[in-house]
Amino acid sequence: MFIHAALNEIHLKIVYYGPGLSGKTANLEYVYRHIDPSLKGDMISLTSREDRTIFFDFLQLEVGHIDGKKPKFNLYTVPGQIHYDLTRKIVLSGVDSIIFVADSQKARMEDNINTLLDLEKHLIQDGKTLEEFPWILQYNKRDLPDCETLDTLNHRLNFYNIPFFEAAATQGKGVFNTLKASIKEVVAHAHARLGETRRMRA
Amino acid sequence: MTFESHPKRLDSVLTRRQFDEVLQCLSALARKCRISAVFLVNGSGQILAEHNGKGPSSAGLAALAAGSYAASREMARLLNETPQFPMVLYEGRNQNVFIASVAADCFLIVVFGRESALGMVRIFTRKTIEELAPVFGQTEQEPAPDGMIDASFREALNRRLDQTFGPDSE
Ligand SMILES: Nc1nc2c(ncn2[C@@H]2O[C@H](COP(=O)(O)OP(=O)(O)OP(=O)(O)O)[C@@H](O)[C@H]2O)c(=O)[nH]1
Ligand SMILES: [Mg+2]
Repeated sequence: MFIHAALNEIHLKIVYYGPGLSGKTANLEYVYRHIDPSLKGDMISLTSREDRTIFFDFLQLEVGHIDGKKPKFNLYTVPGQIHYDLTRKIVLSGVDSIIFVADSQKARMEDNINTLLDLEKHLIQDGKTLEEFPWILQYNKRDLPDCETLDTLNHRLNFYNIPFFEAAATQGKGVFNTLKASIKEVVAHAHARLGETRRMRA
Repeated sequence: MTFESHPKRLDSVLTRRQFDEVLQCLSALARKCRISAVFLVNGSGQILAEHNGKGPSSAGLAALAAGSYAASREMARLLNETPQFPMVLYEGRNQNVFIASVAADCFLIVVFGRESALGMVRIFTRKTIEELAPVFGQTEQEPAPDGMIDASFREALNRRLDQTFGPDSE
C-alpha cells in the first residue's frame, strides 16, 4: 500500500495469480472492456505471439472520490507458465492482495496445487504467509464440461477457508464479483494494518 | 517514506512536505534539461510525483518502467553484478526514456526528446538523485495520516463498488 498524503490517494496493488491458461488475462480483459472509460487507464499486456503473458498485464482502476479520498487499484496478472518464476517474483513485489484464479477442469488440479505452492514460496521469501496474507479464490472455467465439483476444489485448494467465487471469465460470469470481493478484502486489511501501526505508536 | 530492506515490506507514506520537496527537484530538472516529463515511481510502479508537460499518460508507463527496472536489477543479480547507479536507457526515434535508481525501492523515469542532450540529462538526473536522497533519508517510518481508511470510508467505498460494478449476482 502506498499513501500519497498530499493528494489524498491510496494505492493498492492486486495481483491475479494462477497456473498457465487458467484465465487471469481473460479476467482483466473483461474488466477492461466493461468498465466506464473515465474509471480506467490503458490496459498494458506483455504477451508472446501466442497471446501468453510473458511479463504481466496491467490495468489501473479508479472509483472516483470516496469521502474526499481517491483510492487507486493497480491490477496485475502474472505469467502462469512454470519457467517465468523470476518474472512472477517481480510482479508480486509490493502486492497487497491476491486473486488466485484456479482452472476448474479435472485435468488441471495438479497444476492448481503446484501453482499455489509456488505462490506460497514467493510469499515466504517476502516474509509473508498464505495463512495471513489476504487472498481469495476464483474457480474459473465453470462453463466447461468435466469440471471438478466445488467441494473437491475447496477441499484441495481452500485449506484456510477463504472466500471463493465461481467464474466463466470469457463470458464475464463472476469477474466483477471476484474483483469487488478482492477490493473489499484488501481495504479491510489496510484498515486493520493502519490501526495496528497507530496502536504501536501510541 | 522509508525504503528499507525489511523482509516484511512496510507500507509507504509520502507526506505533503516530502511531496513538495520532490516536486521542486523534478521541476528544476525539467527546466534545466527541457525534458518532456519526469516521474518519481516506487518499486510497485506507483507514482509518487510527476512533472509532466506534454508527456505520455502515466500509470501504464510507470508500471512498465517498474517492471523493466526490476528486470534489469534481477539480470544484474544473475550476472553477479552489483550496479551502483543502475540506469536503463530506451532510445526511440523521437523520444528517449531514462530509468535511474534513487533509493532501494524508488526510481526516476525521465522522458526527453531531441531538444535535450543525453549527456546533460544524465548529469542533471544524477544531481537530482543526490538532491532527492535526503528527502528519503529518514529511518523513521512516516505514520499514515489519521482517518485515511476508516469505517466510514469503507462503507462509502462498498456502496460505490456496488454502483460501479453492479450488486453481487448469483
Ligand atoms: N471456456 C472458457 N475458456 C476460458 C475461460 N477463461 C479463459 N478461457 C480461455 O483460456 C485460454 C487462456 O486464457 P488466458 O486468460 O490467456 O490465461 P492466463 O491465465 O492469462 O494464461 P498465462 O498468461 O499463460 O498465465 C484462452 O483461450 C481463454 O479464452 C473460461 O472461463 N471459460
Ligand atoms: Mg495471461
